[in-house]
Amino acid sequence: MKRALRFWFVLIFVPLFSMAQNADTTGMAKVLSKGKSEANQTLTFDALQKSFHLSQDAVALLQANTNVYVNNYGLGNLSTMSIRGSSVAQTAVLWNGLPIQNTMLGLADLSTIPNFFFDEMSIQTAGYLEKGTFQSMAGSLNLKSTNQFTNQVGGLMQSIAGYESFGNMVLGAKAKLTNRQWNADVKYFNRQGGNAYRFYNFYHDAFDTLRDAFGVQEQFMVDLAYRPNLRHTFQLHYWHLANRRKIAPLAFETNNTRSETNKIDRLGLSHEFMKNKLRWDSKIGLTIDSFGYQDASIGLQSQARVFNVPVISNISYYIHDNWDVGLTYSSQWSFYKQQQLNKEIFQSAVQFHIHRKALVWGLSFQGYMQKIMASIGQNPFVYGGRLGKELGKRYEFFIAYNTNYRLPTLNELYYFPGGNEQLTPELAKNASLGCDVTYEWKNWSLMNRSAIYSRCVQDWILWSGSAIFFPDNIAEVWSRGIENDISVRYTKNYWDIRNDFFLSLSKATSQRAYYSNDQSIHKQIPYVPQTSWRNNFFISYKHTTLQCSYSYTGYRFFTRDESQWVDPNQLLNCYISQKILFRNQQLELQFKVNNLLNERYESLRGRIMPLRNYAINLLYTRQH
Amino acid sequence: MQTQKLIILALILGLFFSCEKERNTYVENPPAPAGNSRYLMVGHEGAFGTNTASLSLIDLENNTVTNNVYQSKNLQALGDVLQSMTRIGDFYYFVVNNSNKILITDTAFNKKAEIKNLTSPRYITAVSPTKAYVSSLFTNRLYIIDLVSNTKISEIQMRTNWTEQMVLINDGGGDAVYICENDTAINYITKIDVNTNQLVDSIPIAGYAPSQITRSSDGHLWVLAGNNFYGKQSTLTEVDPATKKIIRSFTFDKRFTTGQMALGPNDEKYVVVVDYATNEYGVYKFNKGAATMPAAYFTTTPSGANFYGIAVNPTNGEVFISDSKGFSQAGAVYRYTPSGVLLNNWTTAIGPSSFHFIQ
Repeated sequence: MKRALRFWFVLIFVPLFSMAQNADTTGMAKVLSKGKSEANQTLTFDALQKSFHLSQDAVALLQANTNVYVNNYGLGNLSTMSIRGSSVAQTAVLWNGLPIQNTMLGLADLSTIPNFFFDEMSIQTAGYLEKGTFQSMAGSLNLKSTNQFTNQVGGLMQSIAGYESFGNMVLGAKAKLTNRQWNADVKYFNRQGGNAYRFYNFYHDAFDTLRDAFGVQEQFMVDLAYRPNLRHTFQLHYWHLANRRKIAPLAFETNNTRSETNKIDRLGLSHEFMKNKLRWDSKIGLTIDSFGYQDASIGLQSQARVFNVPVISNISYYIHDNWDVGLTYSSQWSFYKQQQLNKEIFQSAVQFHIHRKALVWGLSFQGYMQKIMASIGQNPFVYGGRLGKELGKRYEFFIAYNTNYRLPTLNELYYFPGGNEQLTPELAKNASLGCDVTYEWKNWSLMNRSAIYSRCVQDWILWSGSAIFFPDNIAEVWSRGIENDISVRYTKNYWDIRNDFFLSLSKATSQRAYYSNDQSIHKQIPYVPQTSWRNNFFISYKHTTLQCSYSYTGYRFFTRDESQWVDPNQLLNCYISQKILFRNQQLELQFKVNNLLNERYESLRGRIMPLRNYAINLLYTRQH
Repeated sequence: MQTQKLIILALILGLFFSCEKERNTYVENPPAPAGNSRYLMVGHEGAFGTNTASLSLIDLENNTVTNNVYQSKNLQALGDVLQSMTRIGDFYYFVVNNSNKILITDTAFNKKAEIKNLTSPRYITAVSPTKAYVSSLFTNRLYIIDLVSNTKISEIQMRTNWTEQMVLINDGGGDAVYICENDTAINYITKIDVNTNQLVDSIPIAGYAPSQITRSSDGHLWVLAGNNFYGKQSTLTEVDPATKKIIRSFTFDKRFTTGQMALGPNDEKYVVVVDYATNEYGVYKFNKGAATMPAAYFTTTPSGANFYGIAVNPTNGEVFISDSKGFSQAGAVYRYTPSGVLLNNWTTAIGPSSFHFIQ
């Protein structure tokens, strides 16, 4: 750990000594712009996609606008994501480039990520290793606060208030202040409510009311950026989250007295240096995640605290406009403290990466090689490459392959009782082939992204059990499938009409097993729908926007032998908004109807979701 | 997820020491079948938190399995984690741990009653024609059940928050229950006077954390104890309740965590063991009069199997062992001769763990 910190200090402060030097930074910016990597199967949510979900968490955004499957443990409750048939622990959540998963559990709770906080949110689905990240075998959700440096002092204030028919309320506010050298953001978000709703309980064949689901979530964030000159940018990010919630009983449970509290403090510091053809950026993070769980009926109380310190330092050299190479050092120290139990994991990696456009025949190439060193398990070598080819301005084809590696989480190894120190780390081989098409004609535009993927994971870690709940390795899991996103847009005068359609066909099956006479071979992994699609239709006229979203989520098995499942569901949500503009101010009123067709459905086994419900939001923005 | 894990993990250790075929001594319990048992009733815990506990019937003559017997009869799920099942009189009592209830059916599996408001019930033992005790996880209460009205009528305060198996015997001083209090500070079994419902005595055992108990034909009690995680090595102790003396004891290798225990018709004892470090599962057989640990396993698992439940056919000594297969898919039941030869196996449902033989 000490060594890692020392190393980071060298990386971050050595470039400071060069501050006094001058260079043509305008030229540098040009090089960087051209040297930027092509989209790597990354979907960045645009303003329209985000607009109706600003009062909500990342769950709503992902469910509406991606092929990602969200495991939702109930309204306002724990939610995790599965990308292309992955497990939750195989995905990463990156906050300004720093991983924020709880390293004990290997997950970040999406229900605690407010869309209101982030200027840029994107999802990367390829499993291609981002610079310096660990554990993201299957892709990542990226959350960013962007900096603006303005010649004159500028600012923006935004506030949001929302009410949902379950008795839930949302309040949020943020302010941004900028000048030539500084960018400061302060954000606050509060969500609380009873999550009380009526639903049809299939298990009791009667209508029921969800109870004991009250939750309070309070979040505070500060983003501070200082750019003394065009070469150096320093950033500080701080995110405080306090979350208290009761855990509603499962639909087949008779009573419940469970609750949890969670307090997370996240700090990120970074320094970015650019000079001529050199770019050097370094980051260090600290996450302190404290959580407690209580079950009053059985007198159970559990407290745990996890510390996580990720460090990333990357040097890239732009040989010329079309070619850059670089080296990334990254490390992550995780420490877990629960009552008498203290455990830690340290892992570090060195990655060499290269990116070249116009290699031969107009091909572009991205590649990396990474050596991982860990305090447990092996020290694997992973690598990846991506070849792209543009045909005209409309078509881009790509083929990608990479290997990846995930250590078991602290929980998977050491949790008492149930942790399994004999777990073998997961090793993944990802391959994908795809084509992006963009087409514009008069007032029409079309964008289609298709991908065929295959991911083979050896020693996939899965929690299962009855009374004995423990993680175990599945010898091999093969996920493969097709994803297609198509967006068609028509704009004319005050009209803006758009339709986004997302389709996912995914087969994620166990191929080999360690159990004798295993019944799960060639059967779907739990909670990976084989078929899902969603369609979002937007129509805007002047300042009025209507959105209708229709989605289908197929069968999800919750046993490995496909003997038990959660039924498919189809949902229709409709939203309408009206903006009122006045000079530099804007007021937006949104009205939302969710589950318009009153679909009776479960998100997970025993988690029955609300019938038709309503929400209203008010968003006020003032810009200077 | 985390929350589920926390509960589950708290349950883990105890539930591993899961049930054995009930050998309740209460006189009105039906005697062991006179002829060969025709059917084996298999209780399945299901996957935790999914309400998938179930009941299967294996026809031992025709080698067929009928799954979801309770659900088919009653058009409702059994519940979440079927911990144990016991026949009392003409009724079956299904103790459904994570549903906090006991379901009562007739011998044709038609639901007759339900006892609610129990905290994590584990095992039920009849102590008189009208009264039964129910042990519990997470509470220091032993529940008293009225078998006529099938309601909870009272509680007995125990020393620890976790009670496990118990047996009813007459040790010369009247009917008494000897119960395991599963705590690493406990190195004895506790005696309860069934007339006064009072804790009246205790008998020391060789190890700590008793969980499984059974009675051999000579009236002696056999107690399985241990908790590897907390450094309490597993032991099997024979005690004479009349003299309150330890007759003999066996200490398992440190690497082993012990699971279920079963008693055969010739007083042979079978104990499931697992070495989690190597994922090695096996069953030790202690013949009557054995003075030392068996030199070898009675049987080891087929490659990759997870031995979990065990029972012995009281009429012919055949041994039935369940394979949980991680509780995430249909498990299996293996049938062995008394000498350890595998006869056949059946795929059943999720988490087979408890057995009952019927004709």
